[in-house]
Amino acid sequence: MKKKIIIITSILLAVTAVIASIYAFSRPKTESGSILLKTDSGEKTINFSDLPLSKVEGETVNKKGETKKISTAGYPVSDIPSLAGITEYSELSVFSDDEYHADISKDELAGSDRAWLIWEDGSIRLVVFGDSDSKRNVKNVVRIEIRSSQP
Amino acid sequence: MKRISLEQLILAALCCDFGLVAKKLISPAANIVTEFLHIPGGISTSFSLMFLVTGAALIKRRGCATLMAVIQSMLAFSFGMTGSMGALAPIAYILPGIMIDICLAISQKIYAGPTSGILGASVSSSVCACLAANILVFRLSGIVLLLYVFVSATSGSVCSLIAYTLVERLDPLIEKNICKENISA
Repeated sequence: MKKKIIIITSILLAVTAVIASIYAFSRPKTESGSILLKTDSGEKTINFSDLPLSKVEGETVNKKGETKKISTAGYPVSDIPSLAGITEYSELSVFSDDEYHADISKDELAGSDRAWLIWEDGSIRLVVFGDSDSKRNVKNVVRIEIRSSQP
Repeated sequence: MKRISLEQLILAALCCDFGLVAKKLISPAANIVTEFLHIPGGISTSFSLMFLVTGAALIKRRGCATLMAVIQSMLAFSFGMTGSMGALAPIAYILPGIMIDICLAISQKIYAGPTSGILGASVSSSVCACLAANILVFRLSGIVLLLYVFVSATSGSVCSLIAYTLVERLDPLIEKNICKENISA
């Protein structure tokens, strides 16, 4: 039985290695400090340091109910579509390096500065104020997909 | 129906606790691998489930893994260890528990022993847990999801090797204790 487990583990390991290699070559690459903007019509890379940053102040709440004060410089997520030359959209998806993502609808962004991109611990982070937990506070943001209609 | 012994109950409780603690302990090391692969997880859960598989294979009672998974989910709730799943965390605990019971029951029927089902139970419960996490939280698709599933399956397979070794060594001891108890009763 042990031999059988070792053989199956080796096969699974080999298949995983192949899939990991394919994924490593096919995934969109972004340099540190830059974000890939993906729209229905194309892609554009922006550098976070080139963006005109403004002051961000607020509090985020984690799942335990603990609050964290944020006071830094950042870029409003509501202005991201205009960087990609998009005016009509329904939703934004902010992706982390490990493909974890948070969705923000246009309605949420309209008329309020709830969502910001900030520079934290050497990477870009999404913070969404007013949420009851920190699920949408995505670390290490590398990609933002702007959708014109709901999938 | 045979009565469950005190040793078996203690073993089940220990497996629940070890499973929860193991997840926290292995997370930093597992994160190194998952960060390198650019996937949001899939390794530490398999390690945690290894204890449920071990416990269920040693106790040899139907529904044992599901019961341990329910207790684990309650413990996770009370300790605030629900991760990014929040209130939906019990689903991600209980579904793999059910999967372990199904695999071990099938193995018991076909091979007249649970040890042959350890590999199947460990791999399928890991895949089940990763798919539950994907549906509830990550919503990955395409090749990322495929890699995530295969990493879970591989770590489940590696953990089944540890679980098998543990069962092989602990099973004779537990059987001996049960025999002693029956004789004294």
